[in-house]
Amino acid sequence: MMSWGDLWALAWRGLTRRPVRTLLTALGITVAVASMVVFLSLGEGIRKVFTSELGGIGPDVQVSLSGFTQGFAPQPNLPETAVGDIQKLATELKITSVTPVVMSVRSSLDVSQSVVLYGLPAAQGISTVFPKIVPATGRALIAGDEGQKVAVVGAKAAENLRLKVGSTLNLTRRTSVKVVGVLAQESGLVDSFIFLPLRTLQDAEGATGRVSLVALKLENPRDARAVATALAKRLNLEASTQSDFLSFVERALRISDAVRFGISLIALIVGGLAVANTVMMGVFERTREFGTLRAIGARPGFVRALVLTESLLLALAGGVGGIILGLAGIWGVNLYTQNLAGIDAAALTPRLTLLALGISILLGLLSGLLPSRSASRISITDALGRV
Amino acid sequence: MTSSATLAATVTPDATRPALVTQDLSRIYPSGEGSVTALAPFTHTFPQGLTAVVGPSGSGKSTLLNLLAGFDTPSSGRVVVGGTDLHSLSEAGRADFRLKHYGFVFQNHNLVTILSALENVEFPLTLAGMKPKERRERARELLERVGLGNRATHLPGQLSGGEAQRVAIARALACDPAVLLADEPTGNLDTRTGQKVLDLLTAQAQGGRTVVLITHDRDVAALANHTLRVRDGVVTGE
Repeated sequence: MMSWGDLWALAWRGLTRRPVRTLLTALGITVAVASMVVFLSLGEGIRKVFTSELGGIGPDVQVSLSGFTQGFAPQPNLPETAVGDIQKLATELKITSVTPVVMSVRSSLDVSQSVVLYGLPAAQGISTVFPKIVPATGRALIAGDEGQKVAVVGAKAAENLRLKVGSTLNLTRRTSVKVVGVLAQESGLVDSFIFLPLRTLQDAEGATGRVSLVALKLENPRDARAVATALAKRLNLEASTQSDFLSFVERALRISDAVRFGISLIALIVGGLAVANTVMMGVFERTREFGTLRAIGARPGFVRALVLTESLLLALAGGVGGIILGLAGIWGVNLYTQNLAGIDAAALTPRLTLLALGISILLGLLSGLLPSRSASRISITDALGRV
Repeated sequence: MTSSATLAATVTPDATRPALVTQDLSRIYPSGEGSVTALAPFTHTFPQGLTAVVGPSGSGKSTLLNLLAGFDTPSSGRVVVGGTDLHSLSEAGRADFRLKHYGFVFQNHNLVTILSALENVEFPLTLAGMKPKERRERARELLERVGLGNRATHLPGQLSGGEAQRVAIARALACDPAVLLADEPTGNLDTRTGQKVLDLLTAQAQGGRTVVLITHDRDVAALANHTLRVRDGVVTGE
């Protein structure tokens, strides 16, 4: 029996027989795999942003009137009295901090101009909910800021809206605030946040007495699920944990993964057909050679394995090229999203690399099935009779 | 040219090499509502040495060769080498059998164009699972034997027709087969180059191999120890 090394070497020689055709086919696979890698890397990047950046710093439990699955309410809709109700249960449920939050998204057709306005009690400060954040210039919110027209701006929001300490930011036609601090870059979504004192934002939004959610920190974050369940039951409100949020994001991403993979699949199928065509043409051209190999003692299985290996090698070479080209694409996407929102929206994770290689191998095997079957069934007498 | 009488006298029998035997071997092709007999039942023991199979085009020579080699399936009868019925084996079994017991020389050299002369000779040894160093040495030795030691790294396209045919003979001898089947091996060569190829084949016959040479050239047939004539599918002895 021929060794695997000899078989692969022979298959490689077979492919390099017509280098231009082989290169063009491999390029077809490269483009298909690269498009798949770039498409799917978007989901991977967003996952990373949520798990590594938001996951570590957000509240343990957040209470709201409508949960993630019902969609984000555009206006604060939770009566502020809920804060008092939760505080009454704080000792029993080992809640260490209760922070009412007003959130308002300012979205723009120009994505770089979109920001999130985040209002929270000035006395508690931003670090209550986001402990890692520190100001780069100016200062953070202090107790005396409550109800004052001041704001502390995330690094990316400051860059995109051209704000610095002392600048004026118009929240509405009637309300403008003065920037008193710009936060250090966090390479996360928080970079696009603008923090305001709770009352200031409530007034600006016309939402006095209402909040978007109440953020809670627990003595023991592991109890988050039990506390959320207890709060939801006793206060008749939606209470979600970080992991609820992350699993909601994960579910949403999976659906989007499937859509993006579906789009890439078209390119992959076209690439696979190109491989099948190239290998099939090779088989037709080499009918006499395969007949000779069979005549001098090669088993049908050997010819089948040789053609299948050629197909596999071709797809694998294209797959590796696709991952490299995909990396370049991811770099380009991240360059854009870093400028836009300070985040790496795309990422090439080990599992995506393995998936791309796995798809390439599968593509090679499927594309090689028909040509290898044809090659192994060549009649020796017919093949040798062919000039 | 060596005369057939001279060659017959110089064959050295080798008792270790199995004999090639046909028993009632025939091939009938269906044709419309009837049938065409390409080879009438044929029983024969091919002796060691050179056997020439002669006959005009379409007489059934190639049909006989295809059946002897196991490329085609007989309508009846058997091909037996060393007690093994070739056609009772599976497709893979027949391939293994050919690798071990048969060497082939075709009218066109049929070398693998992407492999060098040395790699072409190595190929059957690679199929047989021989270690790289050993098979390389064996292939070099065979190329030296056919006088092409200095052409080892050349591709078939860089060799002359005669040189390519000699590489094909070296390849046919790689696994030291008992039987050499040659189908018009000089058909595409000029007389002088053809003679070199015939010299190599007769040398194998002298060494005790069974060499079956298909030819329509009477001069070539004259070199053989034995001659079989084929006409309209019927094989007769000299």
